[in-house]
Amino acid sequence: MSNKNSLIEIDHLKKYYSVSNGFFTSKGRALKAVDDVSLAVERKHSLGIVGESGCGKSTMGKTILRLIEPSGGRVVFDGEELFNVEENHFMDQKKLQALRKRMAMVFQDPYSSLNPHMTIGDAVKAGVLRHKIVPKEEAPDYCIEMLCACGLEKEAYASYPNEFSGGQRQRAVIARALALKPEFVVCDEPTAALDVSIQSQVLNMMLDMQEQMNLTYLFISHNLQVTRAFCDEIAVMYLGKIVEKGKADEIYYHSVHPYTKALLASLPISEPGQKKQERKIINSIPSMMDVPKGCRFHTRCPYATQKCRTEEPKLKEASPGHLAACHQI
Amino acid sequence: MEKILEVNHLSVEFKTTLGTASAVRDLSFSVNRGEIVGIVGESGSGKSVTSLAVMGLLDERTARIPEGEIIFEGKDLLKLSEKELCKIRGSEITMVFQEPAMALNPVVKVEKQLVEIYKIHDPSKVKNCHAELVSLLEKLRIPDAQQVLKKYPFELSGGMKQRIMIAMAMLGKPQLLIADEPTTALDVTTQAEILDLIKLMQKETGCAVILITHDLGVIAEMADKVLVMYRGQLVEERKIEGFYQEARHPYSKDLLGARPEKFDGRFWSIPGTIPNAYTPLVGCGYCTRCREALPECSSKTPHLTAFDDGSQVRCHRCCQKGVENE
Repeated sequence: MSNKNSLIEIDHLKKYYSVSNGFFTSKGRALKAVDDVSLAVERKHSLGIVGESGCGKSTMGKTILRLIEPSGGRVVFDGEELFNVEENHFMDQKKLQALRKRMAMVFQDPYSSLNPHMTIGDAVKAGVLRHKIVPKEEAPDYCIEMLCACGLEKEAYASYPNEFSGGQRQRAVIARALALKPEFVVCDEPTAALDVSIQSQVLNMMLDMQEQMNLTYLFISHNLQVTRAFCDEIAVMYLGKIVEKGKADEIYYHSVHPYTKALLASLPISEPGQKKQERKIINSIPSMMDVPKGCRFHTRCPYATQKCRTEEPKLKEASPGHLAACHQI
Repeated sequence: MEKILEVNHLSVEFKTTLGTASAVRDLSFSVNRGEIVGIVGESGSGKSVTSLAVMGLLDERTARIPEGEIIFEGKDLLKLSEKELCKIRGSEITMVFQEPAMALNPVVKVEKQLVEIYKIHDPSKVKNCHAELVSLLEKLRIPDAQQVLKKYPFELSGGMKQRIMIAMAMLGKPQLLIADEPTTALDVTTQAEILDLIKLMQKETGCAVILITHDLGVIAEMADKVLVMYRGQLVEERKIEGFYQEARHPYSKDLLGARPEKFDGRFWSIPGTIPNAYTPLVGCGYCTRCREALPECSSKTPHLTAFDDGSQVRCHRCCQKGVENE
């Protein structure tokens, strides 16, 4: 797992929530939102996380940055341990706050992630001043520069979010994140709320910024086509676990896990008359509250055998650099 | 082919404190019996307002229809009284909305909401419709139909709720189904299932479908004909064959190119954004973002021009060859 070149390493990350069974019982059941996930993101690369809604993608993104407290596992950022639950080691708040400026997050909904009472300029400036990115006098100019780099007009600095369209808001949110000169950016569905044409503009801008600022992205999305295009690597998540990961094109064109195949077969065709692959997935995603025993996909898998119902498959190599958790491989 | 719906020169305006917003401008199209017509365009291009106008669901306090007619089976829907419209809505024309969670009543059980359709359109059946409902839900591949009927909408997943919406739309045995972004809020796997169900419903009832979406992949899979809208205008009307290979209007080309699967190191994007509906339309609506704009595009209004293959395009550049329609 360990790789000298990786900026962030995630080892056996877990996030469990306890859900009470009723009003009078104190004992709760565990909802395993993220269950033993190990990943590493190389410097200046993008890793895409795809999966259906409710599979734990967003929770994972937030847990990595410790916006949510983890229940288990270890995350190492640039050689420094953010936390290691098993050894009860958590980075102290002061250090963590200093490190925060190197890790940023872009949220899905640009309507709820900007304060409507704050001008765009103030929103960007707040972080810049807090982390002393530039001297106080230079902050406004620096913020304007940042907004322009993200494709907004100078006037945006003094405008309020309600004057902007969704695409412009998302640019402002990205400018706010990048103004701290981060190295690592977690993007949680950054374009899900946007039109295709605007989505392309924003993604191109993100690619440019990656080039200019040497960014490393963790790109969370439910859109396999966008993820394939944007990312170097893809990890497919199902009910809190990674079921397949590898190079983006490898996953897109040569997937081996039945779940990934089903996701790909569900994509709309790109031209009329094209034959759509037969979709072999059955039922809908089970509740996180009762994750199936054995392979958690077996309830929907057309190839499930007795072994799948009892024994949980581990990630194994299907081809070099391409891992999948399935007994059939 | 018999036309079931004919929209002629429809315009819709909204009067707000900011002024008058033109959402739909001089829109004409028709839908044949049993045909699936897809309408695409960015948000703000007037797709949903068109569908609401057909359903007669526009808010009378703000919306105004200065001109146009909507002919459904020989009747002009705009001239009907609310009472007459109510008879058509939910039976002859039904609608599936984008956000099933918003369209279903959260405090009424599923069964009661479905029975309501009978109450309004076929009161004689209300007493013994239970078995019919169960078999309908089973046809829509809802597991445990008996149980689902007893649940409240919030107990169901997004895909399930959308299936209930489709069931509701099917109950009326419609001639025309309007599906307004029926799968936008759903995962790809669920999207594929819902699209299958709409196809199934279309085959079974033989109804015509207006499918509104911004996803050209969905159109490719479902539609017989595609209407591309921009700033409330129809900019291209096309049979589905040929559209994906050689779209004529620059906006259609840009939309097709902007799909993520067309990525080749760079995403194809459309510069700028769609102007808001208060901005007056001078010349071609698309000229500010168009890569192929001619000098005359910013002043001279292009008209819809018919082509030999039955398509219509509103563009100065590509219509030089075509025949003037108006």
